[in-house]
Amino acid sequence: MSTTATATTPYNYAYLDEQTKRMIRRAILKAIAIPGYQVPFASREMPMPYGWGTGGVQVTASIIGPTDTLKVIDQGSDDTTNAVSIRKFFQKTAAVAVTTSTSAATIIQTRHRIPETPLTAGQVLVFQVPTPEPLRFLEPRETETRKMHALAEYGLMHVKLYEDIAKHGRIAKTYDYPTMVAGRYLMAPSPTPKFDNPKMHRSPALQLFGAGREKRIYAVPPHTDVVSLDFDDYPFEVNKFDRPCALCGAENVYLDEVILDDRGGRMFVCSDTDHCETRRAEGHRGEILGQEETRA
Amino acid sequence: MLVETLFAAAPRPGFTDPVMQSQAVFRAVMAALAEPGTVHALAEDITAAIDAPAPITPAAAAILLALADYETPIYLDEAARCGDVAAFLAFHCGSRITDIAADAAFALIADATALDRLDLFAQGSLEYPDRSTTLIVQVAELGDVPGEGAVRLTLAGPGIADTARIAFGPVHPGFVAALTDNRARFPQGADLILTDGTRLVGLPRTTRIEEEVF
Ligand SMILES: [Zn+2]
Repeated sequence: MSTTATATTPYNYAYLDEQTKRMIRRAILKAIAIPGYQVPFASREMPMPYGWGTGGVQVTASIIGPTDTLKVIDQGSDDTTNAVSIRKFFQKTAAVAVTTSTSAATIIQTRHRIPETPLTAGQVLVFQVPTPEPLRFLEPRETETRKMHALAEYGLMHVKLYEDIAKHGRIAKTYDYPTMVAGRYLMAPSPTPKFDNPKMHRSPALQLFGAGREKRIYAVPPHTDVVSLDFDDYPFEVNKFDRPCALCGAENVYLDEVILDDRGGRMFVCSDTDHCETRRAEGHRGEILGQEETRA
Repeated sequence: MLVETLFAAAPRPGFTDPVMQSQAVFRAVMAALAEPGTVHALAEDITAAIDAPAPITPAAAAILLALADYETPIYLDEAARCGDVAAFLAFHCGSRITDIAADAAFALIADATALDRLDLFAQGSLEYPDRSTTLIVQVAELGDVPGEGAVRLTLAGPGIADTARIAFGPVHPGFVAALTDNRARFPQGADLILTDGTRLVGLPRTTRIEEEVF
């Protein structure tokens, strides 16, 4: 018998039954052994709709244990309905400690963003992935995309990106920007903004990707090359923000636009709420809080 | 196997807390494969509780108990095809025991000095490279100063910041060449978990190896 709540609650530890966990755990191990390759798995129904990150939830449920500390973010924020629900789900089913602090977490489940605070060795970042197949919009047939990955035939993707340049003068993709993992597999960082692509490259953390509806798990081990596709004459560039965060003054971070009033007033603030709060706690002040003079 | 054979003797104990101990063992295996060459010790309450029949060690048994089930045939090397090993694994994992290496999801290698080929195990296909064997290789020494018949390797590749070093053995004289061949078949290939009975080290197919002369 399990030493935790499983005897008194109607579900197993971390919700999933043990056979499902073993199946997902085996898929995760093969995903780690073949970086960027999408391992098929038998995705289970979860007590939440698909758009809520059931793939990521199943990965987290299969790896989490009572000594973990879990952080959940959605669009960089710990406070959205989605993030709060998933956090509560694991508090309830896995009796696990939770945090909003990036550095205090052992497992971080995310949709969209990678935290601004650099991740460290031993941490696991779990992505909720809606569209795992980077070639799908070019080739609808699974048998064909599988063949393309088998033979590393990625010319079509380069052609598509080059067409973007011809049409827009630049590569139009701002998120889910395709990457090559360990020089072998084309990987979709769906739906992560391309701003965060460089954070995946040689990260000391383990990165796991779960797609529930598409039934795929893939991984990037620590210290592994994740290179965004580009061309000699059109090198990869991250989205640039022409201002610092209005609240904490941080530069070179991903900003969200916040509407202040109905007269067109707006400000740009860190999308990573933990990063912003940590900086403000350290005394950093952005424009709207009276600039750097008031820094403690 | 006849039912009466299986239950002739009471099965030796496995996990005392299957849910939590499976999770802990899986995390050690995940960390080991994510960072090849790093040594991960299993908690003593896990290895002490498992009374696996010889020659299977507590750590090797723990890995199979955590990860194998009726969906994953287990191959036993010749040294492991003895005593109650098959019955123990069949009872605790519900796995089919196979004599065909190419059919195995997991392979238990009790005698690493007889392991000179990895290409006989399931390699996966180019379309499905994940359908390959994970070998659990028991060695007497792991991570320390290598003794007779042991090898010292420098490792590089995914999961390794620069290079890592690991010593283990004794192994077959052809073992290092078999590892090199395995790497050359990437993205197909087998994945290895080395264990000395209580600790483990991962050697996934991605790892590039160089043998050090000492
Ligand atoms: Zn900020």
